[in-house]
Amino acid sequence: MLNVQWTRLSEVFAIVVLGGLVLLFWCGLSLSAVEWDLKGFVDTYHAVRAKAPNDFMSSRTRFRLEVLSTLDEGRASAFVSFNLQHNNILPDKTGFELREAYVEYVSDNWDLRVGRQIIVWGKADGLQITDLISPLDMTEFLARDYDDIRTPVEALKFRLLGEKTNFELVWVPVFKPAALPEGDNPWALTPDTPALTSSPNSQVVTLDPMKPAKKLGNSEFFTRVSFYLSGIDLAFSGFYTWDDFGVSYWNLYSRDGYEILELQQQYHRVGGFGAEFSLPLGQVVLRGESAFYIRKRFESVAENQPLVKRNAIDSLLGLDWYPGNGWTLSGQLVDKIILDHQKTIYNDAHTWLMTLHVSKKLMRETLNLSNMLYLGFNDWDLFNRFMVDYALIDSLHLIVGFDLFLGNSGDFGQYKDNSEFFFKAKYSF
Amino acid sequence: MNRKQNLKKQKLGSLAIVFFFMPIWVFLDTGCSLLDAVESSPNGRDIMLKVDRRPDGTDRKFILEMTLINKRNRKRVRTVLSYSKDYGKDKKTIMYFEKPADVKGTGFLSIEYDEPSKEDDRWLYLPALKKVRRISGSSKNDYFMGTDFTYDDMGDRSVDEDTHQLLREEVVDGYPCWVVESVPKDKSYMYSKKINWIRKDSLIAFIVEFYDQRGTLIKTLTAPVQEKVNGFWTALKMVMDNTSKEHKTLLEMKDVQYDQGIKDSLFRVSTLQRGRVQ
Repeated sequence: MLNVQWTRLSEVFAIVVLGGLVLLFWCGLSLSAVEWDLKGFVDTYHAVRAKAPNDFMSSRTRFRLEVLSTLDEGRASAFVSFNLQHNNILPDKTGFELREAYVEYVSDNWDLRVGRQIIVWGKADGLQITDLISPLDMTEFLARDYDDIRTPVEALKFRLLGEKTNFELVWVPVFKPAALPEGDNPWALTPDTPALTSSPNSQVVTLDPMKPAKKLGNSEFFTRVSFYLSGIDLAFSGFYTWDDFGVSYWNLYSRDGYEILELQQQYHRVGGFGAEFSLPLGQVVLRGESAFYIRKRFESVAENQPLVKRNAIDSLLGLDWYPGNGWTLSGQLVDKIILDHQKTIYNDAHTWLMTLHVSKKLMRETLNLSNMLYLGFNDWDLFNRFMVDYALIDSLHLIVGFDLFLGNSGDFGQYKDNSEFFFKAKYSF
Repeated sequence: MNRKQNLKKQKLGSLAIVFFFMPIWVFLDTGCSLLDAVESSPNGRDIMLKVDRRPDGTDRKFILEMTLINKRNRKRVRTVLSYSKDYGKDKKTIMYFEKPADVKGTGFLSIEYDEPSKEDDRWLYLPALKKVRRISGSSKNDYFMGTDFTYDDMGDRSVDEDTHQLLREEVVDGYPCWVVESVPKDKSYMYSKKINWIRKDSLIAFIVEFYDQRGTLIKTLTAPVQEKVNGFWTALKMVMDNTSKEHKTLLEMKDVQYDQGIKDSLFRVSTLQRGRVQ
């Protein structure tokens, strides 16, 4: 009886949001009490592979509109954000894309937001530790703005609001996995098979992913209590969710003289706790977060082996330094630990990662030079994005940059052939 | 008879004493008054404390429009909506950036503590990241949104971070002013000194000259439009002329309102996270 189809839930959310907008519009006509606020941008982004064949890695142009309508002095509101996009490389991305659509009611001591929304938790920059609600869109890996890497979810977010304390509860009725590159996408990867034979009689078969059934029992829940105190921010969270990236399961068998290796991406439940802090100390801010996963599933090194369940801890420590004169420096160190590790687990017991971000504003903040480095210590691979952003006039930015991938394996090294030059123009209104 | 003569002599004596000592008393009294007057004439620190503690209501709201003008007279406009409220001697401020469009929705919340040893609390909301991040309370020498005003110039600087000396009193454009020199105690500070012309009526700086470490005048601030709004003196227009870099910034305060009973709930991180006023 509790089973509700995903499409029905989407319809419910759409009806709620559109109903809210219609109501606000009607009130606007009758009471002239509705205030409308529009903003958005037009941008065009093109990236060319640095090495032969120097093909386009990305080529897209889009129009983004964000509409906020408020009523009752802002207590009630509806928000819609959508893209109209033309994508030369990924044709299925061309067309209309609804980013966010939600209604919200705000009281002095609580608020409620219902609908499609992007929710970001945690203290990390560009990395996920306790930030597990809105999955990532990795269809162009990390070579995009943070804003574009986020996937919205249909959710209900309720908050109790104190002067220095918030309690937050998020319900996501339908699981949405991280979006990964596939097909002709230049960022799609050949799976790293564990034991594929070189026999001409062998083949890899990719099965449909094993996703959780779309029923209310498979909802995701997140809760967090946050403290914004004098001199320190603290937050503690709990989650009962699904692993956004899932794990690969390999099944090798013989049939009619062929060796068949089946690959299936499987998504499993995972629960746990998180903690985060942010501590300003003079010119620097020290921040950190940690998530403890209970019996998370990990891929096995060999085929036909069951997934391995282990407790795991992901931790991050970061430092932001604001020395003045337009400089910002930020560094982060991440360690992903699998407790009680065994050799049959595909991942290492510790996975170390470092990020370093440096930016400098010049010419009265019209020119911004920035560099973001991701360095993986397990495979000694890196991704570095250097960017020059010039504001030709207010709201019109011209951006050029270079994405460098180095290494032979690992999250970044696997893209060693994808180093690219890119150009972007963005007009905001 | 002798008694009468004696009484007469006593009266004459009394009068003589009165007339003899009166001028001395008058002299001394006047002198004391003059001494009082000398003592009550404020020193530089007193004046800057008066400026710092000028009545400006319990809460205030305004739109701050900043026009950046370069040497080719090209203009860029930044607009900020600001709310602030006093909590004893501490102050909470929340600001939302409205222009230019690419930073619209960016929010900033600060709690400024009166206690000098206590670091201010500051949070920034970036709509593209959809999250609030705690930022450092330092970097007050940085320029605010590319204008010619540093965070210190915008009013963040404490009175006792400088040594103040009253140089003279003079009338400028018809306004009686105190001329106060402020020298930073921190010798590595970006300015070697500031000369402030403080209007006596409004207790607002009418002109401020900023000198670099070599003693060269680099910037001049003028506040030509000062009016009473809801009974409180307000600088409605200020111009910072950056003579060393040949550009300037015009600051205009619009829709200024005092003591409107701004809700406490506005000055929360949870409000900042919403990305809009409510």
